[in-house]
Amino acid sequence: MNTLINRIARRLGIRGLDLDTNLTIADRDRMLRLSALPSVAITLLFVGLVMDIFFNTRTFDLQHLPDKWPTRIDNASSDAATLLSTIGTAVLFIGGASRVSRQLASWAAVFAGALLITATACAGFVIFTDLDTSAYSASSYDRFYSVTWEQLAEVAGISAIGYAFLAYRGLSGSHQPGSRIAERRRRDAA
Amino acid sequence: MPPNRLDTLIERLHRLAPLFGIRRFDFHLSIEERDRLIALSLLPATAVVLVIVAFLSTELGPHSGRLNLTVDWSGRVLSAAYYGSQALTLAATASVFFAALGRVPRTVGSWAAVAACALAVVSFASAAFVVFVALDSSDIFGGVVRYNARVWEQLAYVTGHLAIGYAFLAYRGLSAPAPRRSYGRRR
Repeated sequence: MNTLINRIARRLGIRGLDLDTNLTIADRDRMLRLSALPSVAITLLFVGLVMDIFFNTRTFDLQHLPDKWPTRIDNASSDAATLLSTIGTAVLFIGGASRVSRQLASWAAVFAGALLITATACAGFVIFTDLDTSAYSASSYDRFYSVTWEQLAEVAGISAIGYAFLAYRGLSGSHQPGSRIAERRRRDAA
Repeated sequence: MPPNRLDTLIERLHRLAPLFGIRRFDFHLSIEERDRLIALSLLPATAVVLVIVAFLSTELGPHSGRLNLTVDWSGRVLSAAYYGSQALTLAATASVFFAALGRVPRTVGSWAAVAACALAVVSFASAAFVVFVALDSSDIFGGVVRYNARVWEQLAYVTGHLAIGYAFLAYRGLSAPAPRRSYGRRR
């Protein structure tokens, strides 16, 4: 798997991925802390999805708008997911302000790539679902699939931006031993 | 030989760049760099095209000026383009960020800076238009701003996010060290 990821990264012009070395405990804990908000956002999306599957909360009947607790939980979790993913990206940017190790950056690049593929696939699904006539009827408008995939695309897309920045901070080369900036820092510290 | 339009544009950009504190532009793309720029702009271009389709279907479609959720083709195209652009914008921005992880040549960075400026201007103009429509009482019915304004708002959203992505790409390209000049052999 690592070989495949390295080959794809080399094809994309991304150099210096290090997925073979294990993360240190400090790096692992830092990654878990930084990923907390994006994970909560994605979990909340699934809470909304479960509400719809069991209580049919996202079928908009134009005559009878639902106002039950499952609908309120669905709305709250969806809105919270959108907001938390934005804050999560801000946290990832702040996390990238300090020094990022190459191993942490490599995993961040993998996460960014996976989230980017997910977001693009979901956006494509939104377009095809909205063009589909079976989602529409005379009295109700069932954008169930479209709404779900659209939110997932937004959350995955904005999280991918944050992880890509984190990856850039570690892979940009200023921390490599022997680079001019690293040499100057070492001289200044001495 | 008279300069062609591209040369004139490049000359103007060279003159404008120092006004924004940007120096050392290089707009002469090689074929590989041009292909790379096209490849990384595929998703952003799709998002912009979807907004334009949404705009055209609200302005020219049979249900001009309102969100139409019916089975007919114009309603479906409008819905797909509007919500598709909404869903694709952040993925497109993320793709530009991801493309900036590798080495970015100065030429690609220079064109990315131009794209970022253009997108920011479009975004600002669209946002200003939305503000004026919101202030105009004739464009509001039942407390809701007309759907045309929503499409302008969407255009501002899409171009604004993409401008962030291209600005990051420009930063990566223009902050790279310039190739060393050869001053000939020292005596």
